[in-house]
Amino acid sequence: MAITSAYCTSAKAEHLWGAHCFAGQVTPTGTTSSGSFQITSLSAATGIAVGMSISGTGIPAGSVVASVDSATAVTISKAATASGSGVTLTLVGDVFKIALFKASVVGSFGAATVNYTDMGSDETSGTGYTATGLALTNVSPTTSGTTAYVNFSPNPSWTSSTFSTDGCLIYNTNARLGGTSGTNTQGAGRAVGVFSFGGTQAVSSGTLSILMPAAGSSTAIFRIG
Amino acid sequence: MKLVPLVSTGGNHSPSDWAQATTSIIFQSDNPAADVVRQHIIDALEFSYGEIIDMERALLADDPEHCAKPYDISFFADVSACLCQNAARDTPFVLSDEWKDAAFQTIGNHFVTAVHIERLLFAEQHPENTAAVAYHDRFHK
Repeated sequence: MAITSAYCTSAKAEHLWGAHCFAGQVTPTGTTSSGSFQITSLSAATGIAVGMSISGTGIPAGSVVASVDSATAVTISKAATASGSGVTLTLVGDVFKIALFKASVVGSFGAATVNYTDMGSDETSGTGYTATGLALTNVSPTTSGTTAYVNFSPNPSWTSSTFSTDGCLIYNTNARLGGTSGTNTQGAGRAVGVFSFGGTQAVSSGTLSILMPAAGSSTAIFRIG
Repeated sequence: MKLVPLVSTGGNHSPSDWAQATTSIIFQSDNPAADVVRQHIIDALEFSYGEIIDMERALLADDPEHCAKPYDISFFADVSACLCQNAARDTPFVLSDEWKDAAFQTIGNHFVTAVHIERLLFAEQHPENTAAVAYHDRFHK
């Protein structure tokens, strides 16, 4: 069958549901108080959205932003375990991954693809490639003219690898929206985009990098115009 | 939404391969007269890729904590974008400041990726380096 480059239709609806957060990492400082859910005296709340993961000294693992209370305070989902001021906090949006299709896929993939699990046995395999693919690093959404777009950097690279691939799927590992997504009943793994490489790319004991298009209003990988 | 796969036969991609790939994204013209400009851009980028890859290898060898530190390529990306814009000087082509700004974004992304690959390869070769292994695991787990 075939791989057709497309912005997945389900992802378009999911954007309207608030199911995807492409926010890049921000690292403000703040004050934590042991036993408290609120972080105060933030150096900046810019770029912080509800649902972003948050980590730092005294912040329990798995914490996320529950609410943005003011320009200098947020409430998180777990109480701090230590008190401190000027604590460096690391916040980031959802974790998107890129998975590779094998050469000569059996299924059809494109706008109708809804979830990573759709790939099934059409995901590639081989030395240096681990099923589910690689994590991408978000670059926060920006605008140019009337278009908003997002990008990822660095580009994904598989080193010391031997395998073949005809295309890739970018999907969200976070279950920000409940309900079934394809065959995934937990809501995670929602497909965002499918991309054909225009032919089989083979790497043998080498490095395969996927270079994203230029980050611009008419070129970036995901755009809303 | 076209993605450009870049494949090497071992290690990181060569500065020449990197320069060709980056140029194919930032400078797209079917005009045969553009070949001179294209080659000047490739030459400028090939030099810069060689510099940043060599520098990253030296830093990895000297500093056990290097993989925990941010990428530091903005100076090279800025200089390279200027060199690429100047590649059109004395030709009929005009590469605007807007073009340079867009080229800077792509060049920066690709420079970061070249550095990223050096860190991944270093981690694979140095499992005793905690910072390098942690860096590798951020992407591969």
